[in-house]
Amino acid sequence: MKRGNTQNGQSQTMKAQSQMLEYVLLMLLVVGVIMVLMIFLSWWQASQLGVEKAKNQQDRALSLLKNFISSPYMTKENSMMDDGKLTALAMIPGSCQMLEKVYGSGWHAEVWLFDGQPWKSCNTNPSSDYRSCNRWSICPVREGVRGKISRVLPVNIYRRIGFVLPVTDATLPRTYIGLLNVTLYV
Amino acid sequence: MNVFDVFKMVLGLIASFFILFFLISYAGIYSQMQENIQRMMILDNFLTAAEDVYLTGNSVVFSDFSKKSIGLDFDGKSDPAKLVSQAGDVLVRIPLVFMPGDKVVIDMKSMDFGWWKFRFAEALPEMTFIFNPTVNEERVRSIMKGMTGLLPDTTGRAPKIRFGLCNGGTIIKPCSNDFCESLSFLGRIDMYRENMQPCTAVMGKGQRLVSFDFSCPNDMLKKGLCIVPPGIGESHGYAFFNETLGHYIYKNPLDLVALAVGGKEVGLYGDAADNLYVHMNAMFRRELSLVADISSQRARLVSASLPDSEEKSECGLAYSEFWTAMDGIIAVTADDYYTDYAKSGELAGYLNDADDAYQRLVAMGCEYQVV
Repeated sequence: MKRGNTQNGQSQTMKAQSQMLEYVLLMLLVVGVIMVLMIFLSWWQASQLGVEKAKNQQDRALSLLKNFISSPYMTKENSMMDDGKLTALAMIPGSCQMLEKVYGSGWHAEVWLFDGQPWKSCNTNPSSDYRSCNRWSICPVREGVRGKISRVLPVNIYRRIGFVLPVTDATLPRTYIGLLNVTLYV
Repeated sequence: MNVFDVFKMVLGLIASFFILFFLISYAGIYSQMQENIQRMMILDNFLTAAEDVYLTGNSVVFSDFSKKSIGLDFDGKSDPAKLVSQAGDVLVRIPLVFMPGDKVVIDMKSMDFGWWKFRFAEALPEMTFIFNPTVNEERVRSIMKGMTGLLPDTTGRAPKIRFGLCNGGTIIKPCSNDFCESLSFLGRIDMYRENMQPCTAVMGKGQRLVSFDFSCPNDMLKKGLCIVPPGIGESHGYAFFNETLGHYIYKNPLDLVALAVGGKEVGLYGDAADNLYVHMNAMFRRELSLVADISSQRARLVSASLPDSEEKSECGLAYSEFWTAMDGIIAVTADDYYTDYAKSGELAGYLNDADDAYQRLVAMGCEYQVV
């Protein structure tokens, strides 16, 4: 009888322990689900912020392009670059810093003029080459930066100071086709 | 109930309490973050809208500020200027005349200097400008027209930017007994040519009093902006707010618009009028200095490229006058000229010289008309 009672007691203890274990496991499961949910929400929020950041960078690259094609520092009128202004920018020391104060920093722009001549930079020796050069670089290229967003747009280029006719020295204004390439470093 | 049941209950209670506490804290932080993200998105959308309007000139009405309280303020004295909210701040890189409000009309305006146009954006809530010309001369009416022309025309949409006059205790509503829109008011300014009595009427919410007087007594300063008309043949002069703010020097209607829009409002960063005045002048100075530098260099290059002909001598002379004026502008804008009366006058002179030289170049066919 005594032995029977002891066995009964042991069985009840084991049952209670097993119930406790179930209970603890259930709680762990609930806590686990909550943790997973929280991690998922945090990850989702972080990824949304990442998407928003990428969208902002794309918008900024586009905004720079839109700004440059109507910039009074580079153009004659909307979508028409002025070679005189571009060369002036290349000649003015610290022009990049001044432009960065207006448009923000972390970008580089290039203007290519298609006149059938070999490419010649207007930045290397602007005071002597300004009549025959056909490629302007605004603000230096940043080497080693991995993240870049580039936007390219065809533009007109008003040729006022460069050679425009191969048969004469006269500087008759003429409009050429060209490309504006804006690179944003991210 | 045995001891294990009691143990389970106690453990359950403790665990539930911790889980609940944790969940509530997390939910609070999460919702706060979401609120802040939404606030930042509103701020970002506003800035995008303002930049688009600045580039395209297509005016829009922005009403997202009414959706959420964001405690918006404008810090025009930092470089670059900032829009500051509860959630964070965004940099403002365009010249912006801004006053917070639930609904703002965003527009682009420009000042034409002949050889260059200074563009700026405006984002303004419902506002009424009430002019009180105690000296009603041509030069005063010209300033009133200049200011009105730089503010958005809101015909057929809201919020409204409207205009009226004040004579003593009477508020004059010139458009069929109502305040006028910008364009309608421009056509009516010359109809009122008498010297008006100092305004004693009480200004309502969103109303900005702009008085013109040679002495600008304290009674006038208490109510709003008071402008001392410029000397004969001059375009610059003094404007006063109150004894504490001291005087401001204006050299174009935009300076006065910035002061009038700011009004008596005081924000986290001080007087709104002072903030806007400093911001607009800093932007104007920066852009003018850069464009003058480029234009001076370009004029030299174009002049040197001209073929030997009659054109070279005629255009060359006008070009040299143009770059001389540009060099003068570069020298004046090297420091904060807008707090110096003499330098402001000097700048106005150089701007006129540059305009004259450029218009001659255009007339001779040496240069293009700035559009």
